[in-house]
Amino acid sequence: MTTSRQFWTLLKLQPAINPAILFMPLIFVFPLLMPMLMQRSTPYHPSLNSLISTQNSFLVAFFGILFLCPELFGRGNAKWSSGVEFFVTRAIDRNILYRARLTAYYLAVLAIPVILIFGTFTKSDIQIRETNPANQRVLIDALPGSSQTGEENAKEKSIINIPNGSFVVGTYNVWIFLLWGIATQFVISVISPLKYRKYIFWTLYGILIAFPLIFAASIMRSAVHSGGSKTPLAATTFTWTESLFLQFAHYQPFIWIATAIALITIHLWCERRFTRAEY
Amino acid sequence: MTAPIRVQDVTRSFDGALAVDHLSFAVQPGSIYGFLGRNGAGKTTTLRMLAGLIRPHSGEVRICGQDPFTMTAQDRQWLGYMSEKADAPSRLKVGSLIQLGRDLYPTWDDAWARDLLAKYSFSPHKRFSTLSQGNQRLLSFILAIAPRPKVLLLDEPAANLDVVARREILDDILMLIRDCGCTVLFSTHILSDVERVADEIGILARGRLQVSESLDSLKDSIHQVRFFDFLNGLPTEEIPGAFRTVRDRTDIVTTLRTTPDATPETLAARWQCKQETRSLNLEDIFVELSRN
Repeated sequence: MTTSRQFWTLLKLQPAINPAILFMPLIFVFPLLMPMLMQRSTPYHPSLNSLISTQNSFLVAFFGILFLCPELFGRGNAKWSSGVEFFVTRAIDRNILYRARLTAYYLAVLAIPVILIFGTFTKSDIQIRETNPANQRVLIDALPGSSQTGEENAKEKSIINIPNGSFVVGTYNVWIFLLWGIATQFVISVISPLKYRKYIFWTLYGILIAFPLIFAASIMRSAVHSGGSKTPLAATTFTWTESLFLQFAHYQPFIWIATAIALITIHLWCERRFTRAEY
Repeated sequence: MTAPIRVQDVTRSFDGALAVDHLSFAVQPGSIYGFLGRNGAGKTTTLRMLAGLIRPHSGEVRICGQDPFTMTAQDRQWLGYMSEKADAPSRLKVGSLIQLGRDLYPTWDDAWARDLLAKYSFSPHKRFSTLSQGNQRLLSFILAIAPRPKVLLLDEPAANLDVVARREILDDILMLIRDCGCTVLFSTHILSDVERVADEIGILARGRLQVSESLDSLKDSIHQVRFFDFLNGLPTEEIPGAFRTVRDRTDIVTTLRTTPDATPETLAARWQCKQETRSLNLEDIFVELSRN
């Protein structure tokens, strides 16, 4: 049997083995759709977008266990079997089994963010409210085609228009999901052979709780400078989430290439580890 | 001719506890090897190494000359394995599992698989997890044999099965060997199954192989001997070929392998005592060797 036929045979079985694949991606719809709808009527706020969508990091990591190695972390049900031992002892190449699982995982993680990009084509421009002149300069430099639309002397009305901004935000969300996916894949591969893998994973998972708090802190800080209170006008006041978004928007081709290289490298390493694992 | 199943000086431990200790044996083409041992003797560990699920810490295991851990899908087409656990994906339906076998194995005997499913009254629409334990084992057995493998590894195939199903499984194994010269290694606790079909028997105790030979040879060579009426008192020397010896004030009762140098008669003559030899059936031999 050719490797491609093996792959499709195994991929087709994934929803039957793990019906969560069919339903769980829908969890992403609301957190991603809400900021997308908001930015149609109000200025886009990268930190707010990050805060709303960061809760998805929990789910991306949780999907990781569910799809990539449910057998290693257990499901609290002795009768339940993911079938890894069964598949490994059939006429199947181990790396193909891993690829099928990984494909199902990334489909579950990326399907909704990718589908939502299509919604950005109807109203593609977005506005960012920014009062700090230094920030404004950086924004205009970083975001291709962006321009100031508000009255130049009225600080409160400084709006920067970003052509195709919704599309950039949509691809940024996909990129963030992809990064979480790669990180999850990597962490699971590293800890899978360890004796205390279950505890290590859930500890790391618990640490993720801090992330929305960091984003919330970013928003608070962001609100200070957006309000234009006491920040020196010559200094930029971007939070790190905003800076990340700007870097992404500015260096998109380079970032996608770097991400693809990271994805392939980490995948090859993880696949090699999976093929050498014992069950 | 190379032995299709070969285990050479294999050792494997788990968390420092030795599960298999310098184990060596080979199974000849077209024969059935019955693997006996108490719980925790190392049978499943050995089978899992042969199936390529785990690796030995030292020594080597070979299936048709290849390392099962690194076998490709193409090589695995000739290896059938049935785990002691219900290892198939719980949510898959019987029909999907059969379809998977059909897709993966060019040698899949669909007519035979259908006959077997009908014989055991399987509905293709039932999920694997909803089958009874016995039916899960039967289905796992069908999935292992329907590709008509050259080498078949069965870990406790008859566990949780009724007597009729057990008999039918053994008949199917014999049919497989008759039809395609399959080599079979199976572990079991049910000694009558081994007596019925096995050409050769291996008894494992604490990870070490105590004996590995044909049943007839085993019964001919291992006896229980009682030495009594010693003229010069009980000897203190080690009894050659003895697996287990119990001494009291007047008697020595030992299970020993008879060799030309150490028959019950020669030992009785040497110690100037009388002897009484009792033939052992497989169960007696198994118990004696396992308790050793």
